Amino acid sequence: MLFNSFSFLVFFPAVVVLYYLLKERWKTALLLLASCIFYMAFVPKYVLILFALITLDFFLAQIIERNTGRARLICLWISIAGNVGMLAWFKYFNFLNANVALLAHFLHWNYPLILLSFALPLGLSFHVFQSLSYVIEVYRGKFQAEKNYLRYALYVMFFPQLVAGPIERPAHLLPQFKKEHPFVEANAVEGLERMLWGFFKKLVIADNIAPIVDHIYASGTSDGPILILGSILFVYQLYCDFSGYSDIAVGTAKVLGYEITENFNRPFAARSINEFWRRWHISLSSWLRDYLYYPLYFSIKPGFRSLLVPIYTSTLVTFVLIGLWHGANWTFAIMGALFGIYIIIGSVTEVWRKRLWSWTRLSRVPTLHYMLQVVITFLLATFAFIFFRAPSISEAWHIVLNLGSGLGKLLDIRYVWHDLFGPPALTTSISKIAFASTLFAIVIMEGVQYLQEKEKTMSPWTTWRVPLRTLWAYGLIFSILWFGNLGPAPFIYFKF
Amino acid sequence: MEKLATKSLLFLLPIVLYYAFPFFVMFESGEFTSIDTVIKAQAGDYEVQFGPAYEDFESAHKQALIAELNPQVVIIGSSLVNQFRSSLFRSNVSFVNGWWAVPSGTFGDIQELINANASSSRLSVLILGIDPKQLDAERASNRPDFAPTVTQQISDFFTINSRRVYQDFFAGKIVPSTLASRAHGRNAIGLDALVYHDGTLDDGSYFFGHRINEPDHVAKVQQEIHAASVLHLDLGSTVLEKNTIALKSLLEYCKERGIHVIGFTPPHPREVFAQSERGLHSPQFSSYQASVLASIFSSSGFPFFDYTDASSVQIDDSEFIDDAHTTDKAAAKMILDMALHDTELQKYVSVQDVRAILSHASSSVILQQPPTTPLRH
Repeated sequence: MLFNSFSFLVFFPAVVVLYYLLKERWKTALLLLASCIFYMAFVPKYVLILFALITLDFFLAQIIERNTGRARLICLWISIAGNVGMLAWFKYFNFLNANVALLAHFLHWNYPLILLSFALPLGLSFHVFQSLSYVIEVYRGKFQAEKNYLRYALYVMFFPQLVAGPIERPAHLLPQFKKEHPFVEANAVEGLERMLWGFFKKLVIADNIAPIVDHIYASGTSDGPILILGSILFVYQLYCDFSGYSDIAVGTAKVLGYEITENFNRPFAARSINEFWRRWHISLSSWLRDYLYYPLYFSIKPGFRSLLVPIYTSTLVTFVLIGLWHGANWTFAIMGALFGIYIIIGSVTEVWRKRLWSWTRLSRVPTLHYMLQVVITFLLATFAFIFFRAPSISEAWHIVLNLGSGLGKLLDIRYVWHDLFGPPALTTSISKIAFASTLFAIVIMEGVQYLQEKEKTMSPWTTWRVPLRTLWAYGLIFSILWFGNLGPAPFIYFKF
Repeated sequence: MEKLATKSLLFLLPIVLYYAFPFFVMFESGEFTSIDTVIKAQAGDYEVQFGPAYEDFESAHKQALIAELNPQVVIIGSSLVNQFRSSLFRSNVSFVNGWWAVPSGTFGDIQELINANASSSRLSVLILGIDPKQLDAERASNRPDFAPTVTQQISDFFTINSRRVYQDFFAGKIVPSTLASRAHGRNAIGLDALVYHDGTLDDGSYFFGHRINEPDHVAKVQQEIHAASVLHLDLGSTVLEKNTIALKSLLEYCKERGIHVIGFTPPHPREVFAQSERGLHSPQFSSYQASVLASIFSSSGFPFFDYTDASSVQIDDSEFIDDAHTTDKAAAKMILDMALHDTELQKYVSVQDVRAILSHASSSVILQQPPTTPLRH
């Protein structure tokens, strides 16, 4: 079920009313049932895959907890093999097979290419990572295995974060299912406001930008300014789509009395790529840090840890996997590798850059220094995300090669008005007024995000006076009703 | 809890009020009317025009009309054939214009439609208006072939349609007096029918009230035709074998069932056709396609008429509603030509009557006024 669907508009209030009418002991069952209905709205039979993994991990975690020594390790590896195997089968089999076939062809071997044809279960990468973190935490002895099957199933299937995260950790989410959740008006209001904010980002910004980006990427244009516009707009589309989803997820859970992990923290204000990934898709980057990067780093013998090569190798491997997590395509791997390379170069050049700032005396003007860092970080991320959006390496390469062409035309106001604000960049279905209103919505979003960071809360409106807060809510509602793209556009991250 | 309920209701009040106006407009204009009710109304004594503005009922409506009226003569095709009216046929002949009854346009789906109504069918003549692309591409249209469900309509109302009502209101399309005219019995279902007299008549044919009633509509059409003539029209370039096989199968099926099939290609405006002949639009494809069609129809023993060149039936560019669709006067010219060359069709079409209709036409259209029927109380 899509959050931005009429079904959800009926489903969610019904679940909330039932949830608060039921006695506490029935709430887990209700939420699990609701989560099944939510998931089965996509491809009903895929819920069986989910339950197979849930059952496997539930019992393996019990065995791991009860045993010592080698049996624990075997169970851990069975769980990893089961989860990763399922992911590999559905998501990476065709990709790996096609690449093996390509290699075989290169080596003149006879290798019959068999491609499987089925839809990827929605959000599989998210469930798998969430399940793995539970088993690993139990293995590490940091978390007691859950004895209640329904509760554990709900941990994996909790519908607000079921298909596109945030990727929860057991220590954060599971204990919440054991607590009582009476109705708290303030929570409900705050949750609903957060959901509205998410819908605004998704429907007013992301979904209005989407046709423009699609149009530019499909046009095959070699016009640099148009390609730059398309690439920047795509970054905003991606951000508003995914962070909008996360806002709705957090808000939905909040209405029901649960706190789920924040996934974004104003990433476009980051001053370095390192910081960018601490602000962007936080639950994924922290998962990979805790369960991949650190194990890789600590697998290096202590004497060698001060050497840079192993650290950089771990960084690069982690980021390539971040890229591949998004999809089985070399474009994603390149995107990940680019981010990894940015971080490595950033680390290598840190001392020189500090000297440069000091030599140019830029460090004495901190605001200018900050803005320069933010802009450079944004542009580097935008460049990497070209490989996220482009359907193939050759198309990404075409864009990269032409980014600089015809930049001088930007000085020609007629070009800007007729081309950048006209059919070459915009689809015929997008008017200049609609485009301008979307840009205005982006400005509003940046303003709100500034407040979020300044006031250190994702819901700064909670401190506003009631009339202003009410006006803000109405502003969001009527902006969505008037300017939102209300067609059933799925979230980009659903396919991961 | 009472306080919370009161606060919630107060908060929701402006939103309820926001939706109240579109709901009133759509309810009053008949936008929520079910297809069954529309069909019943159209089967009544008075002409009823069905023109919803916010949902696409076209295919479902045509399919239901064919099933309900069980006609002797049906025309199937795209919107290019929507001006063929029952008034062109003998008064005792039951006719339905089934344009868009098969939105995919594939011959296999047309066969399925006929087969679905086969058990008690009295269908005797099937007129096939074949679009230029119908032989060329995998002509999969995005148009739904089923009516939107109630859930879909509710969803659309809360999301897209309520906004469109406001947009239409601010554009001046919706005024209280037009809504009141339906309340007082005008036989129009749907806002487009009510405001513009745009919509489908009892026989399934379409009436372009909005277009015809524009004071300078002929000049506008000329401008549109000129603009279209310089665009590249993708008419197609190949004839796919699977489409010819499906057409042959359809013709065989009709022959077995004793249904007389008449094929034709609808005309392009002369200016567009001239450009096509000069090689701007898929050079020679139309005539090549027509020759393929003529051969298939001929081998099945059915007549085929190529009207791609409008001058072949003396249709002027002024007899187009826009850059693609002809008026009912042009449709009358085509029916007359078909009847003159096909004795089987003469059983259903009176050549004399059609000639009379054409000679009495005061302008480029035959039916200039929207249905003016007694008020329904």
